[in-house]
Amino acid sequence: MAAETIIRTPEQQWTALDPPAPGWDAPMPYDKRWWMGFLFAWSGLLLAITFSWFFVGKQNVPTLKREVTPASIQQEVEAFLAKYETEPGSGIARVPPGVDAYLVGEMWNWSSGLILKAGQEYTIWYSSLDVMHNPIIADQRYTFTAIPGYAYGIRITPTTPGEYLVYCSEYCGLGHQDMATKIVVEP
Amino acid sequence: MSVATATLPTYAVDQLPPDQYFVDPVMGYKVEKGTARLMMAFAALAFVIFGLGAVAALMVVLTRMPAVKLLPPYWFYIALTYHGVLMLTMWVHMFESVLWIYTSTVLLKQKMYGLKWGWVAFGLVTAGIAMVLGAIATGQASVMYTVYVPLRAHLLFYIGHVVYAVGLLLVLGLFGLNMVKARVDGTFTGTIPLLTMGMATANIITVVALISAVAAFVPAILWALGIWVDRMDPLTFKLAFWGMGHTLQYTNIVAMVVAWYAIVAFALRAGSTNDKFSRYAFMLYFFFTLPVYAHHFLVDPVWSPAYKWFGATLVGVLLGIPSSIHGIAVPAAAEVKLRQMYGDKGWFGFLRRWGWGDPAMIALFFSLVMFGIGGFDGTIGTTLQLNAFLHNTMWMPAHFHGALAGGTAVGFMGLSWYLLPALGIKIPFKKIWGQVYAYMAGIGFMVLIAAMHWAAYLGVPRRTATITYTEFADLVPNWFLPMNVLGVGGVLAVTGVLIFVVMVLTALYRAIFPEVVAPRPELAPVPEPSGAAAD
Ligand code: HEM
Ligand SMILES: [Cu+2]
Ligand SMILES: [Cu+2]
Repeated sequence: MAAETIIRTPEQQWTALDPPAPGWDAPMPYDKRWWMGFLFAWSGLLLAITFSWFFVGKQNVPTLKREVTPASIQQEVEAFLAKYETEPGSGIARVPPGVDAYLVGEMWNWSSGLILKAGQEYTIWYSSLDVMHNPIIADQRYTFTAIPGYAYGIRITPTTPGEYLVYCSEYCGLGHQDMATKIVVEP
Repeated sequence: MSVATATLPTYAVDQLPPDQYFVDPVMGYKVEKGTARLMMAFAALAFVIFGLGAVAALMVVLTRMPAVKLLPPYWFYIALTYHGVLMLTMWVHMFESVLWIYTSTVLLKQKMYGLKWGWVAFGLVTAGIAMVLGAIATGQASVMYTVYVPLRAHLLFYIGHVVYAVGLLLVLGLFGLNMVKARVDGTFTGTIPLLTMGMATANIITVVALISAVAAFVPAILWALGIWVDRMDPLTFKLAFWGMGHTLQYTNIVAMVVAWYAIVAFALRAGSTNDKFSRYAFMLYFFFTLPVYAHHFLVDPVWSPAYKWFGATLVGVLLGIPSSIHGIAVPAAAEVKLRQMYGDKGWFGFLRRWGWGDPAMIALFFSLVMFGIGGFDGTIGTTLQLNAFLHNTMWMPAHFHGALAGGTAVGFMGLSWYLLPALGIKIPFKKIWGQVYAYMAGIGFMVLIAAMHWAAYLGVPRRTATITYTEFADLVPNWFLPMNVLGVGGVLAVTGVLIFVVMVLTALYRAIFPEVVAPRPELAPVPEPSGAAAD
C-alpha cells in the first residue's frame, strides 16, 4: 500500500512542497549556470542551422500564395482540365513543363491526378472548395495544406520517376479516409 | 482597537478546531476537511474522464490496427473526437484543478477561501463536460479536438466548451484569491513553495489561453447559429484556436513538472537540487510560451517564412530550455538524495536504488524519458523545413503521446499514488497493483510512440479511419506492420490506465461514501506529531 507514515524532521524540510531553504537565492553554483549556458548555446546552433537553410538548402517552405474564392479556383481547375486531361472524364492531367498544375480538394475528391515529367520544375496550386484538406505525396511525405479561400503554390522538381499516392491528411469529414489521387512522374 | 483582524474569520488551519481537519499520513500537513472534499470531487471527475478516454483510445487504436479494423469510419471519428476531447481538454485540466487547490490551500497552510465558489466551478465544468460529450454522441460533432471551421459542429458542442471554460476560469481565479488570502491574513509569509510557484505559472498561462479561446469560440458559436457571422476565415479561426490550444499544452507541461517535483518530495523527501535553478526555469516558460501557436502554420499559405521562423522555430527551440532544466533538476534531486541515503556507488549506482518497486518512481522514470522524446519531436516538428515532411503524419500523435500521454498523464498517474493518501484517501490495493499499472502504462506508451514514429517515417496519415485507399491500393506503401505494433502498444497502455482508474476510483468511492463501506478508523484525525494540542 501507499507510503509508510513518515513525519518529517526539520532537516528533511526542504522539498518542493515547502518554502525554499534559507539562502536559496544565492547565486547558482557553477554547474547549473554551465548547463543553462550550454542550453542557450545549443539552441543558438540549431537556430543558426535552420536559418541558414533558407539560403543554402534545396527544400524550403514555399512562399507563393494568393487569395482566391472557391468559385474562381474552380474555374481555373476546369480550364486546366479542359486543356490537359488525358481523355475527357479521366480526371488525370498530363502537365507540360512550364504549366501550372492544380490539386484542389473538395469533400472527398481531388480535382485531378497529375502526370509530370522528371527533372522539370512545376508549380502546383493547392486549394480547397470547402473545408481544409492536406495532400501528402506518399514516399516523399511532402505535406502542405489546402485551405478554402487561399491558393498555395508549391514548387517542386520531381526527380524520381514512379507513381505516387497522394492522400488527404487533414480530417475533412466522413469520407476523409478515401480521399486520394496519384502523381505519376515520367522519365 | 483593531477590530478588523480580530473579527475576520481565520482560514489558517492551525486555528481550526480539531474536528475540522485531519493530518495527512504522508507529509504530516493539516488538511481542512471541506477543502479535501472539493479536491476529492475534482479527482473523481478527472479519473472517470481518464477512464472514458482510455476506452475511447482502445476503440481508436483497434480501428487503426490493420489486423483488427474494429470500427467503421463514422464511429471511428466519433471515438477519436471523444478520445481527443476527453484526454486533452478534460482529464488533464481536472487533475490540474486538484493541484491548483492543493498548492494554494494545503501548502499555504490554510483552508480554502471561497469554497462555495469552488463547488460552483465544479458544477459548471461537470455541466460543460456533459454537454460536450452529449453533443459528440449525436454524431454531429465529429470535428476532432481541433474543431477547425468550416467543419460545423452541433451547437451544444460549442456551448459546452464555453460553460466548461467558465468553470475552469473560476478555479483559476480561486487559486489567485487563495494566494492573496494567505498573504493578507499572514498565514503564509516568506517565499512560496516551488510547487505553488509552478501552479501559479500554469495558472497565468491558462488564463491567457482562455482569452484566446473566447476569440475562437464566440465567433464560431455565432457562425454555427447563423447570426452576424456568415463566413469564418479558416486561418483566422485556426490562429485563435491554437492561441488557446498550444498555450494550454504549456499548462500541462508545467503541471507535469510540478508532479515530478512532488513525486520526488513524496517518495524520497528530496527537494530541487537548486531552488533558484528551478524557479528560473518556470519563469522562462512565460517568455517563450506565448507566441508558440505559430508552429501550426508552418505549411499554411500565410505569413512570410521570416515570421514563421521567428514565431515558431525560434520560440519552439528556446522552449526546450526550461524543460531541459527541469529534466535535469528533477533526476538530480533524486540522485543527490539517493546518494545521501545509500552512499556513493559509482556514477550510476544511484539508478539501482531509484525505487523500481515504487509506482510513483517507476512512473516518474517513464514520464521523464517519454517527455524527453516527445519534447525532441516537438523541436524537430517546429523546425520550418522539417515540418514540411511531418505535418499531419503520425509524427504529431508521436509527439504529443510522448509529451502529453507518456509525460503528463503517466506523471499524474505516478503522483496519484501519493497524492491520494496525502488527501486522506487510502488506496485499498496491494502495492504490486501499483507496480503493474506503472510498468504497463510506461512500457505500453513506449511501444505506442515507437510505433507512431515508425509509421510517421513511412508517411502514415493521422486521423484516418482506414489506410487502404481502395482505388489506389497498389500505391500504398507498406504501412501495415508499424500500425499493428501500434495496436499492441496501445492495448498494453490502455490496460495499465484502466487498472489505475479502477484502483483510484475504488479508493475515492470509499473515501467519499465512507458510510456505504465498512467504517474506516484510518480516516480519523491522526494526533499531532509534536503531541501539542491533542484533544
Ligand atoms: C490510454 C492509452 C492511449 C492510447 C492507446 C492512445 C492512442 C491514440 C491513437 C491511436 C490516436 C489516434 C491517432 C490518429 O489516428 O490520428 C490518438 C490520438 C490522440 N490522443 Fe491518444 N492514446 C492514449 C492516451 C492518451 C492520453 C493519456 C492523451 C492525453 C493526455 C492522449 C491524447 C490524444 C490526442 C490529443 C489525440 C489526437 C486526437 C485528434 O486527432 O483529434 N492520448 N491516441
Ligand atoms: Cu480532405
Ligand atoms: Cu481529409
